[in-house]
Amino acid sequence: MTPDGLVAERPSLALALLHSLRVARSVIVLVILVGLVLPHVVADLAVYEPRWTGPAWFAGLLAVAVADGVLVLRRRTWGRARWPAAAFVLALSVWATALLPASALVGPPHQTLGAVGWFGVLLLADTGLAALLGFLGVHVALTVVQLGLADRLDLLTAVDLAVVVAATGGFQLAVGTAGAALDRVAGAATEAAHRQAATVTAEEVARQLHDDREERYTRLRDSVLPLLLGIGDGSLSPADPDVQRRAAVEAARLRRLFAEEGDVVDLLAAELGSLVDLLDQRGTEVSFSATGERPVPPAAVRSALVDAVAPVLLAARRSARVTVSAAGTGVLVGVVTDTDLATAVTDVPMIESVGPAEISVVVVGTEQQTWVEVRWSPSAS
Amino acid sequence: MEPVSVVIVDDHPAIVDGVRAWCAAAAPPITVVAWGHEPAVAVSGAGAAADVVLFDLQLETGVLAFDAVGRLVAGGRRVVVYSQAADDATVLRCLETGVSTYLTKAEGREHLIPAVHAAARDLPYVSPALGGVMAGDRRADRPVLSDREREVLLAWFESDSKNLVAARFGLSVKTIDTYIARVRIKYADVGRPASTKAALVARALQDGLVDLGDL
Repeated sequence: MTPDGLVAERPSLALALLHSLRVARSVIVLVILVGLVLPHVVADLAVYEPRWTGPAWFAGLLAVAVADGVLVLRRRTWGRARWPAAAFVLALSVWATALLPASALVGPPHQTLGAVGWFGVLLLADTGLAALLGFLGVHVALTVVQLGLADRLDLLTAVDLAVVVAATGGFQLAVGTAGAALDRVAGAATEAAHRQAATVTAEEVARQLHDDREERYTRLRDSVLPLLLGIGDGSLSPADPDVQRRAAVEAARLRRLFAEEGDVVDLLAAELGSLVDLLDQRGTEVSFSATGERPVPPAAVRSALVDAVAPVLLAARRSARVTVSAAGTGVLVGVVTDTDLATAVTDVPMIESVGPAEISVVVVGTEQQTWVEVRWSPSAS
Repeated sequence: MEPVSVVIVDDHPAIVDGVRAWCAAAAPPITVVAWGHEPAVAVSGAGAAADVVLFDLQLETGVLAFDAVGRLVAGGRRVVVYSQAADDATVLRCLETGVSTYLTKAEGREHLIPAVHAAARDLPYVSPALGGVMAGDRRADRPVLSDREREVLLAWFESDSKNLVAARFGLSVKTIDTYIARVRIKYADVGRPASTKAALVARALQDGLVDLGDL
């Protein structure tokens, strides 16, 4: 797995913050509706004629606010429905204003004047400041037209209107722009977090690679050097089949070490491929197939898997089959050779470096063939 | 019984020669009635009446001839794909189209000859490569396989030997065959309908290889 892949799985900080902001907006609007607007609607029931019309426009606004709350809880947005919803809210506002007697306009019973702007915040703030400003502007313009129709365009009313618009609209714009600002800050923070995580991951990968290599070199010193020295001083004979096999195993290890230096994505397949090449050069007919979406085993596991099958594979005479496949959340490495069981099993090493719970070996043999299957089943953690 | 006839669509002369030699030596024999490097050889002349179309998916470099396979299958032809490509997506796409079976070119005569015989009789044939792909299939709309079916398929992919698979699970080779064939029938029973798929399923039901409850 690449460092990028690790980072991409982290939930976006920006999304988390924006969601919190949406929750806050919904709560603000519901509190304003129930805590500030509702008492006025109840107290001024008599101002509306007929009397049900006051509760009716309030119910309309409440329905929009509740719908928004449900969408927020389900982490969904209004999408295109935001526009008809905004038009509906403006229509409610015009209706509620038209119901009021001229004397009550811009006074305490005229609750939609301050409340409606909040729906602009709920419905439009996510699409940008322009849409919110447009909504607030249209609302004020409609109110001014209705004041004109009611013959209430006197200076005192205009001042009252300006005070209400400035007081409530200021809050609404502030909350609306907070979203845009938060979006920028969160975007930058997410990017920084990703960069940091990528750096940490890259460092960790580099450190592990280095440790692995150190370990490999140590093992090579312990195994390759004695072999070479033995052949050099004549105590080991290159004609001895056992020496030949040891040499083949060590050559495969060296190739694996070199394979890790390159940018090979599937290191397990690359390591097995090196063994296959080796047999190929020796004249053994080897087929190599891989299938399924396979997880990437850690280096220690990879090593254990390859070490488990290498001796059996290298004991092949004329033909061998090597496969890698996905098995649940794990990986299966299979090797079938044309050697009989008695020859092959003595070479299957016990795997002690990796927990037996994670790696299991199955050996099946007939007189003509030996099949070794090594399965890595990562524990759930 | 008439010998099985086959038409070879492949652009590699060496492959054509090799397959013709295998067919000539097969028992029972397989008659190669036509061959060529274009799909047209399977729809006109002697090739049009062949029981089985042996089809190389990669007729031009880098281009896979899914459309040609689709047209042959739609025309009711039994297509055995014999291709260099071994990736899971390609194999699954061919199965979905309704080919009789899929072999990779790494799989030689020991799979090709039985696959052609099986296709001619509307019997399922699953090569180890195809078994591996079906066992590793993680698409959402894949057929439901039992754990044992999946294990047997993986074992078949790994070992390329039904004797070894049978020895491992303590079952007879015939039972192993049934497990593998049943998975193939499940694949024929999903997705887009095709007359070749229906023929596979119908034949399997007739032979008692599967019963309706398995599907």
